[in-house]
Amino acid sequence: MDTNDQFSKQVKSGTNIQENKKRYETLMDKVCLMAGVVTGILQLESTYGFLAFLITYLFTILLYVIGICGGHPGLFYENTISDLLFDNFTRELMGFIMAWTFSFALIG
Amino acid sequence: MSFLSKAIQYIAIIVILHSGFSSYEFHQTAKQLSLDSISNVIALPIDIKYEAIAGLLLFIISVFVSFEKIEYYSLRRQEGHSIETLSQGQYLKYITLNKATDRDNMINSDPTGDVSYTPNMVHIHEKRKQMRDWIQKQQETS
Repeated sequence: MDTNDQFSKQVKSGTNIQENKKRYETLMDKVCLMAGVVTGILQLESTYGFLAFLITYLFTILLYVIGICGGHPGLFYENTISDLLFDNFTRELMGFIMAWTFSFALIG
Repeated sequence: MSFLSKAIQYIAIIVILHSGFSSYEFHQTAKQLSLDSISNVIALPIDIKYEAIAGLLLFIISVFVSFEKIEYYSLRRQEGHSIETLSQGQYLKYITLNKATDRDNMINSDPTGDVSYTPNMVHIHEKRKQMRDWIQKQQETS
């Protein structure tokens, strides 16, 4: 029985992992783009802008883990820290900077 | 995406656009004023800041509300029965294979169906019985 449990814990469904990652990525894309627009509206510059990104990013992850994953991200993601925190970081930062500079230039 | 999340999203976008327009107007005025006066250190009014942040928060809430618990239709429901949805009560899909297989069982999806339902494999015992009967009949007639 123990060996059976061990076996079933190790085997993962690749399709479901990909689908969960995709849903998270879509959510983060939307939030970070809008956060960039708002940062531009507030005319934040240099460090404050990046701080705004970090705060939004971490706040969204926290909400996601509590609200969508029900506090157990390990059930839906293989490597929780890497999948949620680091994998999409550069992608979201680039999106944020694009929206930030765009709205900054439009308003200022 | 539910009606509620769409409604919140529209409100959020309107709030953000409004704060953006206010910010634009403010900066245009500030530029004009700075030409006349010496001090050009005028901060963005706090209500515009709050409006923009409230808009972002509303947008984030709308994105989260748009997540719905995943529901399935049973693949082999009987005719005449009402269409009822099945759900594991989760927003995402379980990654462990035993839980993923639970889902397949729940909606009657057979991952090995392409083998199990190959025409040659269906009712194999029935076909063998027919063949035995046919051979027996042939032998009796001969």
